[in-house]
Amino acid sequence: MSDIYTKTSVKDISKTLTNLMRGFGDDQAGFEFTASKNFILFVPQDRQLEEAQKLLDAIVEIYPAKFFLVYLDDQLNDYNIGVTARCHILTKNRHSCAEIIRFGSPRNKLTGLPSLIRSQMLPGLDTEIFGFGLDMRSLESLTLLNPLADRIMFDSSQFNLSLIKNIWTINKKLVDFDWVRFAVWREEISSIFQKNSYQALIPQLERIVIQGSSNPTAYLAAGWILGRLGLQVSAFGNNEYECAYEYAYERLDRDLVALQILSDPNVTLKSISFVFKNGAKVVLENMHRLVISAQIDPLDNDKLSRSKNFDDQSLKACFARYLAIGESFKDYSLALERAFELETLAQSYF
Amino acid sequence: MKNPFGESEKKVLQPPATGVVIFGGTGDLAKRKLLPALYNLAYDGYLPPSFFILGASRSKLSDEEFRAAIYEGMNKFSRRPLKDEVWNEFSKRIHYQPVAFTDAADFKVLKNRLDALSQGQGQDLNYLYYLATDPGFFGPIATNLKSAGLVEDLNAQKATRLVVEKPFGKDLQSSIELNDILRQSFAEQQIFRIDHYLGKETVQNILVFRFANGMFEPLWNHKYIDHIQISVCESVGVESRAGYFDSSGILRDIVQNHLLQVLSLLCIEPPISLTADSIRDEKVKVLKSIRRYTAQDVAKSTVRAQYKSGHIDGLAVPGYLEEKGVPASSTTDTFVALDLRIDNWRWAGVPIYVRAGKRLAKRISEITVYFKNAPDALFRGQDECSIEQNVLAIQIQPNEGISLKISSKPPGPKIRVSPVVMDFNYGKSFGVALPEAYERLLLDAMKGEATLFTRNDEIEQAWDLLEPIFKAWSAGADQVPVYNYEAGTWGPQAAANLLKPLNHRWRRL
Repeated sequence: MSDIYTKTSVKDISKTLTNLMRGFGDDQAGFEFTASKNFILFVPQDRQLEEAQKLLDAIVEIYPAKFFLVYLDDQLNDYNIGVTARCHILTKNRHSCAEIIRFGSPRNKLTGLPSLIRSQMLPGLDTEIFGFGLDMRSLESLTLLNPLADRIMFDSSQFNLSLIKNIWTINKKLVDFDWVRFAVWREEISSIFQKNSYQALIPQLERIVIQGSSNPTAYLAAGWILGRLGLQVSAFGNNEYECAYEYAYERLDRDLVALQILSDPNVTLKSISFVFKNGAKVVLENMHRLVISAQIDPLDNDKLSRSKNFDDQSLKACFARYLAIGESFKDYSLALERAFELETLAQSYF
Repeated sequence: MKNPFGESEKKVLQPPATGVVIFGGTGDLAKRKLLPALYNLAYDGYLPPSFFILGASRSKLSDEEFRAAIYEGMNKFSRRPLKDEVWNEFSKRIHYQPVAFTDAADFKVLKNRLDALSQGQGQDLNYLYYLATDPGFFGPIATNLKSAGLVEDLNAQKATRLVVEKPFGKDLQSSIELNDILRQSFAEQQIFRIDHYLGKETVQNILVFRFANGMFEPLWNHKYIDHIQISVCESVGVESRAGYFDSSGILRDIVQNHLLQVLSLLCIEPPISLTADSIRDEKVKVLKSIRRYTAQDVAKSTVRAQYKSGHIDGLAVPGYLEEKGVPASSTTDTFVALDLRIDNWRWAGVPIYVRAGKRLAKRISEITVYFKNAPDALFRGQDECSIEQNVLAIQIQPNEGISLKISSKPPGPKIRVSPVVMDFNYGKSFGVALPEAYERLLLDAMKGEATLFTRNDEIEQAWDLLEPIFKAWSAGADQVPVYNYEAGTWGPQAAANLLKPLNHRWRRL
């Protein structure tokens, strides 16, 4: 099927789409147009349009939605509207197809854009906005589009925490695909502490060390760990955080835990280490594969050591994983709040 | 003795010989709706062999001039392109008579004309008088028809019927007065009050859906239904109707008739038969059962608003107060939302939220039935397993059909719960274009079939329900505020707040 957009006008969008669908055989036999949600791919910087289109081409194969590609381009004088349909093979005689409507808009016509999109959205279905290449300047546009959506999606691997904080004020329901990438770390940590012998170590936790670049992942990792352990940050000094257990009964037999976030500009997340009072350690390291090593008793030669290949880290793979397995984002909100606290505390110190 | 061969098939499809007189024949309604509807009936072979149309208005036109004027409109507004052979035959049956509606003498001339046309058909015809005029003329026309001898007794061989369009008065008192005037000339059974929503296939389908399917009726009550939403949304503004609309408002223009008619069909008890009065009796019962507001209720359970400037389909549009013909001090409602309750055994405790408005995000009319949640004991605490309500959506327009949202497990290695939608679409299921509402209504009026027309007591009950709202609203904006909403959105925040106490939300259409 052609992926060239057929140019159309506002009032002819539905008609053009219908004519397009007619091209799928006389009776459209075997072509099923599926959509169980509305999906808006928002590209605030038109120079990223080609890349965004590639992502869209990949997603339409796996995501059952009516798609809207919305981009800003100040070279335009008016709205630039095009429609297309993409199909892929479901089974031997059946194709699954998706409609895509592309809206280009100059910034000075931005205020009318939501009304354009809204009139084409499928009623009663969930709507998601994926912000592609978001930056601080695009927040105003995102705020304008936000009322259309149930949640905002993005990939924070290119962001800083401050940008996420701003997005968070626009919409609290976020889907961060970098969190999806972080899933393998969470799964391995969970797997290690599934063992009774490692669970028994937790009251003796002394220090958590996370090494990563300045982007959110390291802070999110810290936020997640603190949240799961019931730790709250109470102070920052000497480049480390002091964390106390939230519940008084836990504070009775547990000391404060130190949290260090070490900078490594070369990699999003380099390592996570848990250090215990008796010298036991659990370390997860990114060495182009996830290497896990753990030792309960430093005097004991019995060590746990294994490694695991990272899943495909591309956005397309993250989408597929999000669809196939889903990702629990309830922990994300908690992790994010704690990450904000960590950053705020560190900034106020300086 | 009954005819052992049953009624002839043609009789079921075609009404008896009829002359349709359209008062206001040169007006907008005739041009956009009535004449194209009659043309399409002719196209489908539903008009009887003995038939004519007589347009009647003040303008002095000949038959040919009237036909020429109609032709242009027909091309534009008919749902099917004009076919020469159909139009040629059809247009021969179209005539015109200048009539001043308040001049009794003109009606005597009208009678002579009608007699001549009937003679030309070679038989006595029933007459259907369609009042496509300003409501102020309903009374004079009915009276003048009577005095000109153009109204037969109810049981006469020849049938004479009167079709009136909404608005049927502007409040309870005026609707009673209007009906009294009409009843001086016509019997109740001769009066056909049109609510064109009842002519829509999707609205008629409500009865079939409810009572021809065994699986829904057992659930159609307070035990299983959490709440209902009915939305009638337009993206257009007042356009050229500002003068009329400003004296009316959306509560009168849409809620009093279309919306309450749809609500009553949705909520009726099973009628004992499909006869007009059986169904209308049940509808009246629903309207009587809707809880009447006190003054305090109005403030708490109603929201009124006006659109301000915004965007529709990307184009900037002015606000209501900036529209031509709207006074700057107007507090007329272009949007209304109500929280209604029906106090009977079936519906006790079920909120019924209705909203109607102009300059909303899109043109759509929909009934949404939200069912109560299943107990989530099995899935509680599981990731990706939050259960959503089952939702039955009946879309009246523009994409006529029914959808049912259910929960399902998406493909993958993990138990997850995700909503999916099962769809019925008229176009895909039946493969035919839906007829326009007026086609069905005109046909039924000619046959004397009153099921799809509102009875006087339905109208009075609807006015009675809304009277406390009009009273409270007219007390001033400090009692019940007039909110604003941006054109192109779904209405004011206050409308969303109306549903908040029970954690409900308006469905995003």
